[in-house]
Amino acid sequence: MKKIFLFILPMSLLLGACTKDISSYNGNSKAPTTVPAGPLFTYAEYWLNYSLADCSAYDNIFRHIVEYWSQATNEDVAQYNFNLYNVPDNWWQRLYVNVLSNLHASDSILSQDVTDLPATVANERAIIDVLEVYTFNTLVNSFGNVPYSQALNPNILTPVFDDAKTIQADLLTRLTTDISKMTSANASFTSTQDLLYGGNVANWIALANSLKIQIAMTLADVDNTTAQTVMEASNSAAFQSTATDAVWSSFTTIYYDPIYYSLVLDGRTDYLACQTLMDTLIAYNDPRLPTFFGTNTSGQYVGSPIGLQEASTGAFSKPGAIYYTATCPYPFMDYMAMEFYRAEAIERGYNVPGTAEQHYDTAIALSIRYYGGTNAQVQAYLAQPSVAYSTAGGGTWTWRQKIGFQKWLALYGRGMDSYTELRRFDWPTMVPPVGAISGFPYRMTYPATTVSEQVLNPVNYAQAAAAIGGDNVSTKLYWDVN
Amino acid sequence: MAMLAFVLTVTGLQAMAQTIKLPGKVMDEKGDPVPGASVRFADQRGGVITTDDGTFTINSPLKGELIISALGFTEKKVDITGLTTLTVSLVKANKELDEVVVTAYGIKRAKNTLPYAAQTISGDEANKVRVTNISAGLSGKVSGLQIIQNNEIGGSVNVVIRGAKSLTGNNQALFVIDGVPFDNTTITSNTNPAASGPSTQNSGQGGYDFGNAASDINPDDIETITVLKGAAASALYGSRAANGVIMITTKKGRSGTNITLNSGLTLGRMDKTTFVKLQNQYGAGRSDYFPNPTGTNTGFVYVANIFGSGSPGFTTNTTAPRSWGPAFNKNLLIYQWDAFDPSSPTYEKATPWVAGAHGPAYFYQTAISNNNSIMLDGASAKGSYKLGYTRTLDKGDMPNSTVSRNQFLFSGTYKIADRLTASASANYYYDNALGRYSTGYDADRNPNVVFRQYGETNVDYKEQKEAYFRHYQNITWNWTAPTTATGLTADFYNNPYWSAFQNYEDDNRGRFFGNTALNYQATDWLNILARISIDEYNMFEEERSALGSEGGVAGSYYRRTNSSFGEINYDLLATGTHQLTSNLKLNELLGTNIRKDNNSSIYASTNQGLVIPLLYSIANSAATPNAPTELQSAQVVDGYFAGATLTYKDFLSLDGTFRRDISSTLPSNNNAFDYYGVSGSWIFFQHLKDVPWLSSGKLRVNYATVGNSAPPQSTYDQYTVNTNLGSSYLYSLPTTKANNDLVPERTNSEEAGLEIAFLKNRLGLDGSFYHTNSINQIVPTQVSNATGYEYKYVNAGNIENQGVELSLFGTPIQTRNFSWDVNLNWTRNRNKVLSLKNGLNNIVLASFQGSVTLNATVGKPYGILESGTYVYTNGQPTVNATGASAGLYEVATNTNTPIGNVNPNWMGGITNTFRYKAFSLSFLIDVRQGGSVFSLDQYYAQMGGLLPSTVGLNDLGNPKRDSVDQGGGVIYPGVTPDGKKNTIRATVFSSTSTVYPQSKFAYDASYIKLREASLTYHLPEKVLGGAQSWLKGVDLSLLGRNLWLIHKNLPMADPEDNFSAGNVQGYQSGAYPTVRSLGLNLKLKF
Repeated sequence: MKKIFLFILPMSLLLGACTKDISSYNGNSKAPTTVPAGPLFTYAEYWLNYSLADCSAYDNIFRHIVEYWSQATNEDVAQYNFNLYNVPDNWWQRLYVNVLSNLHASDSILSQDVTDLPATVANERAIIDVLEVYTFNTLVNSFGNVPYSQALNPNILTPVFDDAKTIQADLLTRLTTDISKMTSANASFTSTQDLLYGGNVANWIALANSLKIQIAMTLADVDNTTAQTVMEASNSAAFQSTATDAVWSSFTTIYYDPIYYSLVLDGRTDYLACQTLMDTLIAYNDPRLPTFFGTNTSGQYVGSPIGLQEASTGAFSKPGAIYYTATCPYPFMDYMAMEFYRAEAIERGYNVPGTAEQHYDTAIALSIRYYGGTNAQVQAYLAQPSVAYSTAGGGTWTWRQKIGFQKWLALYGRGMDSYTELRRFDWPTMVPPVGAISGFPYRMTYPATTVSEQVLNPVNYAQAAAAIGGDNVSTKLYWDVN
Repeated sequence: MAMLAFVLTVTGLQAMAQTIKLPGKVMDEKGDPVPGASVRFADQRGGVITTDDGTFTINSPLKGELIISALGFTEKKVDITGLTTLTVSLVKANKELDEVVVTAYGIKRAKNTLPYAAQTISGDEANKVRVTNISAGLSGKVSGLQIIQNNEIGGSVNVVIRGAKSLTGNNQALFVIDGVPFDNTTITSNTNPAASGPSTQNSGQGGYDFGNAASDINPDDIETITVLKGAAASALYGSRAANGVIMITTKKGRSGTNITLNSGLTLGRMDKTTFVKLQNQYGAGRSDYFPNPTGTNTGFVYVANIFGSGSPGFTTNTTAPRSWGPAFNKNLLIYQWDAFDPSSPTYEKATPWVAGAHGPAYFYQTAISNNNSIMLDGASAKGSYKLGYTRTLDKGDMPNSTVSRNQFLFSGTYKIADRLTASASANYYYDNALGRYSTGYDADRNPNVVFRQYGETNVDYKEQKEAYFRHYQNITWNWTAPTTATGLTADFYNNPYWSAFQNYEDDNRGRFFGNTALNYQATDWLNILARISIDEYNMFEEERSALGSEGGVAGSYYRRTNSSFGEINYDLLATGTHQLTSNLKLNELLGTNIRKDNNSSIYASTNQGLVIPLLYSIANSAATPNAPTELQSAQVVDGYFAGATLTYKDFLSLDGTFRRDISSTLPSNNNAFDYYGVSGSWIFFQHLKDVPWLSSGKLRVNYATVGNSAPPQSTYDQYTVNTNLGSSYLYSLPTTKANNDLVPERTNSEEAGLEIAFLKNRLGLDGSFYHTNSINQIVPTQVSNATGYEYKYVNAGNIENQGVELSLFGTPIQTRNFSWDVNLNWTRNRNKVLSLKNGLNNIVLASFQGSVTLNATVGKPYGILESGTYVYTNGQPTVNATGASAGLYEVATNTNTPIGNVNPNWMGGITNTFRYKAFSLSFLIDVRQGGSVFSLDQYYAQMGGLLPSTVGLNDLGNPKRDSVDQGGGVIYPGVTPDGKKNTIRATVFSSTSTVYPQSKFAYDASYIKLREASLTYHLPEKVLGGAQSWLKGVDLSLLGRNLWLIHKNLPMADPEDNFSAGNVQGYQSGAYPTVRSLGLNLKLKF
């Protein structure tokens, strides 16, 4: 009988040893459970940049909607068939998960930060908030009503969709608060943490003011008072020169530009110059043409009709050489766009220094010079009656058409920005794509495929769809009244 | 069979002392020892149990009777008056209801008294047609068990007992070999740490199925397989047993020296009814606009100066890749893909525009499987041993695919002392694979995407083969822009031979499974077992895409994953037996089990392509490689358990079990959970012994609960450290939110069953009704991305499963020379998601291409396919009345309409075995009735222009493919929005969009298969030279598997084919055809 203990004893010792702190076995020595706030912010910035710059037919199709580029193989997306490749889902997922969630996490780590100077933390948190505002604004301008007040809370698995107008009003309030919390004399993120400004708070203040104007001017047709108030109050603090331009240059030879990936690494030959833009550039003798596009195999500039499948891609112009580099910068927000807003504000009768024509000319000049144009080319271009502010459009164009047209050209490469302005100005008119499955899309439909709100958040989805007037591309956003 | 009387051997006479030590041995009819037999006195207390070699020693009073009993044998009484040694031969008890069943922890019980459902089949039965994966051999042979197998070489087999219980967790049965758990992880590219989210391979995004780990089990070493179906049977195994247990008992060393040799060769060919049939009237093309000088569109690409000839010519649209192009016409000479291959005899030549003479089926070849094994065993009074080696070599029906398997085994027992036996077992498995089949929508490596979805019907695959083998270059039919200097590259699709011979994967896995144990027979009534067992494997897998493949330089890559799995179990088990009164017997069990799991992996890949061709190493990366992805996780479960069985007069029995587990993966304040089972059985036959037609009868009922813990590392967030961006660090939140409020999962189950046999056991029935609820399930549920996360771990849901399972056996004919046995299994399981978590009505189990999702929705069965469907008017599909799409179907914009339920209505299998003298013929028909499968292949094939339904003539007698204004097109059945019958003729053309909604492509997945057939000839003993011959047996068999797909509703594919085992079923993309195989096997026993 005693021999039994020979077995039981060692086994119970073993058992005793194992039960001491059994939870400790649940660890993972290969992943951190706490991290500093900075690298989360960096990650969010990177993904915001990447999402905006991307040209993949699966992720960012705004270049096709605004008819800068056509698509020779996945022409479906140029025909507005976005759901075929889950475009709304991917756009939604990147902005909420990759960008906003990490910004939010970075902020909540900072909110408990006791080791850094409070002034530094205040700057950092305000900068994070500015980018959150930018991203929510992008979501609103893409979809309309979106989850906002209950968003980014993993305890609320089915967040409500807030009214688009209410969200944008709150975004303006947040920016005002952010600006009041930033002090340029104090430090913020380090130069390696902040991919945009290297932690330069003064620049962030200018960006925040410019973003306020950008949001407010988007609403001008439905809320002139807000637009005017914000424009007049923030104008002097917004971008005044290219020195404060926010140009992402995050891309490296490892974290390559997404367009470079498609065109060079993936060897895609199906991204072509769109005939709509190409014919315009040629007709207006635009000095930006050779930067925007290359020539076809016969050395000519030829655009492809939007929506058409092309078997012989060699017959058409491809994107310009700048997109064949891994490190192509992305102009995120800049003085050029601000000058167009100023021109527009003056036309709307707001109290902004200068004339509409001055700001219009400045904006065009900035764009041409950004793409390598000379001053002489700027002068020659502006001198054309078709371009000159007083005579553009044969003298019959309204200011909306004149500014809208040139802004469309100047926002080349910035598909999402251009898409918003195109809907606001309703000019120039886009050519209906060959084989289009719908009319011009005034918004993206809510995610319906891989991260389907229809499936994951059906009640709130249905309410939102009803509230905006139907989850269709033909539904106009509340600010798109013309 | 004639009954043998026991043999009583008197070897001496001794009558001097009052008691003597009487040595003895208990054997079966074959002379093999019967261990564990009870030897007790008929009229006084006291008794012993035989050891492993069947021997015993008892203090004999030199008179009286001994009762010798053993499970599975008919009890014997022996008069020992005057005996000094004793040899008893026991006779095996008759038929199924008297079988011995090995239950949890290897405890043997008479099936007679078992209070829960357990079905046993012999290893030979499961391995009748020489399967390489023993799980596949169970299909149709056990009720309540659902087996789904795919057609990939070495692919995994889904083994689910009584329906899916866990929403997103593991639903596979637990495999236990000789009392020790044997890991059965389904290993797919899914487990590739680079993949984000829970599934990529099994939702059709490409990747490989490396098989389920239970496929390592050596089929030649299996004595019996017992399927413990319900929680009451399995509760002692702890949390993993909620899904039921497949208990495998391996062969034991038999007395003497025995050698078994086995050698088999099997050949397999694709079953053409499970493969595509392409239309053969139109070739490559889409809606292309080709600016011919005349302004007409021929559908071919016009080249003004072809090959510098100065003359114009037409080339195929090599980039289409669809078959909506010009009608075939052998008089039309076109420059096709081969005209741009300098090594081709047709270089720079235009060739007739005809359908490819060798279609995609040409790509498939004869599969060859070769299997050899040797098993050696023996036993003596001191112990027993077993030694074996099996080698299997499978060459798949795809080019350049091989899976080989080597299985080594050794086990032995040794009697250290009278009451102390040591045993050890060591198994080593080494698998090596090259060119496993790539699954799903992976156009680069799964050629079925082109064959079934987006192909060009003018391509001749024999020519593709020749083009590749001339210079081993990627001479594809899918040139990017063949008439340009830089356009001779693969646009989207490689030459399939290039993909097979250059872009293959390879992997190997070495696995050790073994244990050492000491068994101590402490007293007559108490036995103690201490055992340490280990199951450990290391896997190395590498994937490559050669320079020259589609996607440019960045499309080339090398990736490798090294992973390891380890599980150690420490068991201490005491079992006791007490005869409380002459009618009441108590068996007790007390034990502890400590389980420790360890998993780790490291994944690395090149970045932006390769530099040096054919060098597959991480260092050969075009850009600095990303940091490798490393994972490590562990789980420890401490379990304590106890059980008792009370038996009254051998016809009433009551069982109780209890187990408490403490798991490391649960929140530390809530990491212990208890579960228990109560079960009873009543052999009512005991009271009906005089009913002549009744041979046996038993009722059983039970109730049990089983708990389960969380996956490792699901209670706290872990950040991801991404590759540095220059000198910036990039960290990110996980996309799955952890949850520190998780509580253990629980499955409650009830079961009632009846076992009955008639007519001297010629006819028998074993049936069960069961009902289970699985609640508080731990699920990484997909959530609205507006939460900032893609998934979150929650306790969600209550799934109900209830069903009926029936096994029927009968022997309609039994004569001296001829017999006919029938064995039928039938299963009907119904499951339903009763609830999910606060506010959630639906959990997405998988999102697939084509806007199809697999869901668990409250109030519906687990596994609802949702997608788009028609807009209905008065129950009829609606077509547009006006506009550009007049005559075409209106398709609903929402994609969350249920279009199918992946659960079958019922499953069944019927095995017929005929024996005539030395011949035996057996065949198994396997049936699945109902359930849905969505075919992306068919859905996309309509866009690819591949379907025969898009060619031919319409109701006017004109070619359907002609434009509508020329009299072409078809009238789609349906109504216009005003409810009137559609009369508008519309185009069949749909190169970029689909004419029919997804719901049209959700098919009934029913099938009837002639799964197995075998014809065996047992060489009669006389021929071998009688019982004294050195050759003890020769079996020659002709074996067939999947010979005939008798019935199915899914066109051009096998409804059973899937990506891999697991919860994601009911969807096909790039499906593989069934392999029909026929083989010859020779078995020699010495």
